[in-house]
Amino acid sequence: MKTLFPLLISICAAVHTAWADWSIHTEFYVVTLAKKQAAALMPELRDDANIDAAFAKLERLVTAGEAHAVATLTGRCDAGGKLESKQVDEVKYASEWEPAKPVGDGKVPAVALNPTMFDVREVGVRFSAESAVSPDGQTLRLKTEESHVRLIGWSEVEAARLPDDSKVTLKQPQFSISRHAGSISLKSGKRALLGVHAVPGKPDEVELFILRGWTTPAAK
Amino acid sequence: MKPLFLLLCCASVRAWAAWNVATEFRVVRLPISSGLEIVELFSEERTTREATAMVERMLGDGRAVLVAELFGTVADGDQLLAEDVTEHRYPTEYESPNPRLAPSRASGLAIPAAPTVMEVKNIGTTLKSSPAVWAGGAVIQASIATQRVSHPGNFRYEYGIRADGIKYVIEQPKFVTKNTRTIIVARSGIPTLVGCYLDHEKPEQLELHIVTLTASGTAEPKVEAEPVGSTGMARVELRRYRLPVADGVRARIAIERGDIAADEILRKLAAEGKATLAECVSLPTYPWRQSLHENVLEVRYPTEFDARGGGPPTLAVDKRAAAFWALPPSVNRDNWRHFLGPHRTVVTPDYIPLPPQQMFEVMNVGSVFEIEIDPYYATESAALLNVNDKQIENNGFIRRLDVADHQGERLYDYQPVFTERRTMTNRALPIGKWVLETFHRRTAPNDDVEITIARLKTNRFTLKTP
Repeated sequence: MKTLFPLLISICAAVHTAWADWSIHTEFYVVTLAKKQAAALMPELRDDANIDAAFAKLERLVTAGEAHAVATLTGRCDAGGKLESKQVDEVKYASEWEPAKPVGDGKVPAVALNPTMFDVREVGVRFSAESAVSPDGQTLRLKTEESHVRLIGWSEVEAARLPDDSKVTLKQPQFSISRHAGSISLKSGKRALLGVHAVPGKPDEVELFILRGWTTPAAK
Repeated sequence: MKPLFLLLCCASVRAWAAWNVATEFRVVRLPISSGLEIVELFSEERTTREATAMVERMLGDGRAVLVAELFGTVADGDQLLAEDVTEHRYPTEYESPNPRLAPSRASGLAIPAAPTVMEVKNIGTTLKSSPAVWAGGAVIQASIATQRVSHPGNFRYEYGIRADGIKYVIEQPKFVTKNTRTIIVARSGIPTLVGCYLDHEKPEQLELHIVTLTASGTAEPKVEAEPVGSTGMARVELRRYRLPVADGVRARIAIERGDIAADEILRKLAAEGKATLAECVSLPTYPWRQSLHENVLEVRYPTEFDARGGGPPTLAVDKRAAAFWALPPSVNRDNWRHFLGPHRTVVTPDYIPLPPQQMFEVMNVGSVFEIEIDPYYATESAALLNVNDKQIENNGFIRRLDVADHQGERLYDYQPVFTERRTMTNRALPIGKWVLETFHRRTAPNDDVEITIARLKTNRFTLKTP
């Protein structure tokens, strides 16, 4: 009986968590801004006590056009549940080809380069989280995964050279990925700076991943 | 019942009164001279702030470059992954080029092999961290993995040449990977040097990987302080110099005699231009945990060739074709020529060289350094280390296989020659003193010696009693 009692308590605690009385709300915010401005805000953004004030400044920068709000993804789930939110476009591109074949009567250089397989990639911002809440609903623990995929251009691979010396090329997409995966403890209603990433092609800018999470009583 | 209740309460507080750890990862590139000075400052906990200030000054005045920067937050005890990467797609399978789709002009032009399948490699910066907060947030122990992959260019393989001088080519990408996996123990907010690399493309520059862990609490956490007065980690440093044989032998004798500090001798020779720094490692480590430092260039080389000509008959247009196995314009081009000898002209009716298909292999050329400290045998002045120090060099290509005999002539293919030097030891290293680790004679075409010296340092620091 003595051995079973702690087990019983643990099961009760687990059941209590599973049937929690709380709903979890998240707001994932992606913003790009100049490195200098980010550096000035960074001490406040990294300070739990001052992050809300820093966020207000950030919003003012966005309003003034000095920072760019890339995405705001919101989500909601019950305690212990999962949520996923994304804002993406599909990019389809050829990934396999038949070898280049000459076509036509040969007087005019012409070539057929037929794709045989295509791939699809989602480009944009994605946020997913697994949640847990303290029994009093005041503290959240979120296991999150966020990414921002961009199509930054197309690279060319030479596939053939025509008799007139013109090149025949295959185009391949170049995707850049800024990714953060981890977990965070938050007081309900608070924000946290999850990550700071480079912006491809813009060495003077950085991208901030900011998360806000809060709880409300679950609907019964 | 009462102890059980208290235990449950404690478990509850532990679960919900957690810490978050902010991890900052910076990649800084700077000249070797000042870089070595900074590495020296980072090797002691008490001079870390000075090292950081020096890096900031150099970044400010442009002498150093901030190559990459990542920041990520994770809860105590969980794993963080942060990365900024760009996908690079490159062909891995090819079909024969169609000769009707070939330039008709004189030499100097190239016919590319026709790519049919692509692979993807992530180029950029990656950070993994699993922190554990100690001593009420003052100290953080973290399992750290940092990686930086770059794409400095392509290998160009000329696998055939026609009678009119037009070449057949295949390109394969070069990737350089700089990678560290280790465990660090650091004060919250104080930077730690986790990796130090000599650049493959710019050997006059050092690349430093610096990680800063900062703990912040939520819900006024109550975390027990570690019951220790002092904590910390060890750091193993390694320098590899290449120098002429005579100078190397003299330096070795002086090092073994112990007249002057080993690094002093070699740094002096380097300053005089007689020695070249070939490797610089500064790797933090923690007892019983394996730590890894890797700085490698991926060499992709073709492993199968089909030079016997033919191809579909409809594609046969060149009645007089010359074939030779050409030289990738990478390191030691002269050596490759030496091995390959003069080009041989081959008259092969209907000959079209076929490219290797799906037949590339990869060899990581560079150095891999793994260490593990055994604290059972540690004293105040020395510690026992398991060391695995592996180096691979590309020393050209050799002719290896006779694949065809057309009208009295022969065709050859070629295979790369990799030289491996590996030292696996279990030895005691004195703390704080440079010692001779290995001495290697490098044969032709290098014809020099390589001296490796190593030093063990302990980064211990005292904590205030909570």
